[in-house]
Amino acid sequence: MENRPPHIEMCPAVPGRSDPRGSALSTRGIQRVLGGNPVLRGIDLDVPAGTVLALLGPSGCGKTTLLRCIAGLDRPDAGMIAVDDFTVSGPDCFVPAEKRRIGMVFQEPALFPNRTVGGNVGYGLPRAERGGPKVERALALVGLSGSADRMPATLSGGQQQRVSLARALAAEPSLILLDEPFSALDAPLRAELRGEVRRLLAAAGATAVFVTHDQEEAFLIGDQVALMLEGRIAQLGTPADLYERPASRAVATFVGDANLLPAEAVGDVAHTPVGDVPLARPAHGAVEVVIRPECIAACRGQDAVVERIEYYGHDAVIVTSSRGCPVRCRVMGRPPYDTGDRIGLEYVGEPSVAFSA
Amino acid sequence: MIGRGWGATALAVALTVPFALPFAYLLVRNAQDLGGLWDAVSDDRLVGPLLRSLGLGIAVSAAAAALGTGAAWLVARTEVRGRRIWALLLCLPLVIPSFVGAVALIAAFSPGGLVEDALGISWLPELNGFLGAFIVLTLLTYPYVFLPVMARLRTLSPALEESARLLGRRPASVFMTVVVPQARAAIAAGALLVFLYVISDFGAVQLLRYDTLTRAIYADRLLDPITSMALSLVLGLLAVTVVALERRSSRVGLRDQARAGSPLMLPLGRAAVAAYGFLALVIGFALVAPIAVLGYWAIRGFVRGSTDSASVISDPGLITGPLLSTVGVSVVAALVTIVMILPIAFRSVRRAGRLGEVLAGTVVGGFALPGLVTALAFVFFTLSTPGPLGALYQTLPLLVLAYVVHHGALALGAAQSAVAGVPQRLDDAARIMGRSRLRRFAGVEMPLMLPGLAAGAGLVLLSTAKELPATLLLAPPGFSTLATKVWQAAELAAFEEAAVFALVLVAISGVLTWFLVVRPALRSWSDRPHPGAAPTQGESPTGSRSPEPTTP
Repeated sequence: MENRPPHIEMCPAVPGRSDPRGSALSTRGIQRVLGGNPVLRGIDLDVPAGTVLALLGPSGCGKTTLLRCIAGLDRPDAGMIAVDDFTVSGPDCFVPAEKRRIGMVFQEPALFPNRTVGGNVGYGLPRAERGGPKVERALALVGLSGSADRMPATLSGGQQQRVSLARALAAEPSLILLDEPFSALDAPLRAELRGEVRRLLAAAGATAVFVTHDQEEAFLIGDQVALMLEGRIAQLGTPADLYERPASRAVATFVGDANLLPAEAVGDVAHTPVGDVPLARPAHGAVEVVIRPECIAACRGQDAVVERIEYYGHDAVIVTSSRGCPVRCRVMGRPPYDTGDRIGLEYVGEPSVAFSA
Repeated sequence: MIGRGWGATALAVALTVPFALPFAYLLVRNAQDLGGLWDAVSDDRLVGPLLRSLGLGIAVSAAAAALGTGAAWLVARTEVRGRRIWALLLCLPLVIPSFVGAVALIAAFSPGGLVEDALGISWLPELNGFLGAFIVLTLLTYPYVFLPVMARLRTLSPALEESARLLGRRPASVFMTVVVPQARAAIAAGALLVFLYVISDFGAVQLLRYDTLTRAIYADRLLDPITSMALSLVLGLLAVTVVALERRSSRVGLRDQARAGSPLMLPLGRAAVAAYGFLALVIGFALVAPIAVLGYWAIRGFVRGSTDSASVISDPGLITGPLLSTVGVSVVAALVTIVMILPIAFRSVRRAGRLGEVLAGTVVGGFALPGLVTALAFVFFTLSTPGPLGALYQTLPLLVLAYVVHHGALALGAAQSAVAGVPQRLDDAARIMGRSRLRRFAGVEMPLMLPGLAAGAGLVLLSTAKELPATLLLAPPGFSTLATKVWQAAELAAFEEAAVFALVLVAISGVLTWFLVVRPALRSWSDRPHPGAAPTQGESPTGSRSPEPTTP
């Protein structure tokens, strides 16, 4: 916290940017040490204008710290942050939070309890516009038309979070940050709001970073998903990229359910306990192949023994042992097997990914 | 079961009677002489002092609210270095009783005082009256605002301030539109306590010659007791109203939001000089300056010596008498208070209902009544009552009773928490194992309650040691405490002697305040914050979160 350069409020544009569409947000080499622990270890991100980046990671991976650095609520120890091609944080430049034009929605609604809903939504607007149509438009966007005169305490948790979003949107920020905004809500409401927020952000054409530890939420809301593990971006890509072509074992196991099966790779095929699996990238020698449970089908055969059935209702996982190797196989509905049955397994998915063993 | 049966109820009611006595007596006496009451309240004898009391109270409350809130915000919300040390130092003016502060001010600006001698300033401003009282009381009472506001800022969700910043508001605007509205209940509760302190204050206004109600009551007590009692009733009603308001406002302030993470700390940048300067000035004038002035007079006194053989300057051994009296009477008052309060605490906690609330409210009412008024009521009561009660006038038992009545509420809050902290199922468990009621009380409940009761007793001890007006009016002839010694010396302008007694008193009060008020508060600040966290000990008897109640 000490020996910081003074605040510089206007910063030059970042030179040498080539993306014609323009990134609403880009970060380079962000590092942050908190209490002696490196929390962010060099974060590079680019979020194209008008898209939503889901920042996914387990708790403690640094995703909230990164969000706070972007917002200007915390200051990185190294690295650069640019919003709309203006550097807001760099080695000798730090734009305070109130000058960044960044909206943020927190875990809790954080509405000012002494102001009406309209007063909250208008809080970030110039004085002349506080009572004007912008407030009502923002409230209409989140489905709360006509609530401007109510007090926040009279709203439900989900409604409060909507007002919080309307408050962030009303100020027409360059970028909206959402820090696990649904974590305080119960499951059905979460599911409902997820879809709604996705639609809202698209309708507003907003650029957003959405932090979550929930993989489903990240996949549903993010145009791109950045998986953060231990202070680094482990992989940045579309949801399908992360799921079907994970960049590492850690990504493969964090995102979804995965079998990591020992195999012998010969070019673009790997010989695995469940048969031959096509590889997206050629490999040779001893490898581990990432195989999603739903990419394995049960068939007639003798190779695998059913150890137990995990029955979830709409689907089930058959936990088997195939040539001494545990294999999980996901099927729709209830499988017609019992513990101890011998079955066959076959690979039915797209080309997969292998990591050298 | 203690606190449940009829016997326990009768005991609790009986023990509450003394707390209602002073106010009841004032009501009855004034009602008996409605004509005298009307005469007194309808002319200048009331209006002038009342307006001066109200004016001083409002001015000091407003100034203390601004000072306390500003200091709390600086310490809790900026990147000021040495946060904990500043917080600690900013609480410490609590250890200086108002009359000691007034003595220091007078001694500093008197001819031959620190300002003239050491600083070489020969032009001495006239600091008597309103200005002097305003300065002394503001500097000594702002901690009553500082502490609850600190506690509120600790529980205030950082996301509110962060949202406001992200929505484009500068820190000053965030302070005005988010912090102040959210801390309003805490500020109001603190300011009401300050107001109560000021209208009840006797020592500072008397020494600085500002004619408030308390000064008029004291001046009229011998020659015009009817006016004195009428004014006492007015002041008492005012004080009880203030306490009722304070209880209501602090209850509203208790709703808190969930809190996550640590708050946004504002870099000071170029404002650092102003921020450190402000904090240093506050502590300098409220804490360092009074002690420095007193130290200067004390040292100079010992260096020059005294011609008066009865002065503590020529015989430092003379300090022991008042010192032992102060400690002795305070310890006795603390113990008697706990014994009297505990049955009331049991009754009001263990059996919910109207009666328990009334009993507790009566004890708080005893605290609300200014010490001067309580003491005067006892004086008039004993003097006008023949027989054994009349013989109590200016005896130690009556003095202790006045202390108990005036400070009982300090122990009540702690005792109620202690009683509530003993789980009923422990008593049930001991009962199933066949223990008698008495053995359960001694073996199970008492050990668990002891720390809480000790804290309550400590608060009574601290306040009694600093008490002035009741001691002046009710002490037996020849019985002196440190406080009355300071007072007598100051009235004779013997500042060397006053300074010595005052420093000893401040030292005792400082040690007790450290253990009873400051340490628990600091400990609760350093904990990881959790929703609704507030200092558990040292809550004011009126229900707010200030550390120590007003005992002018």
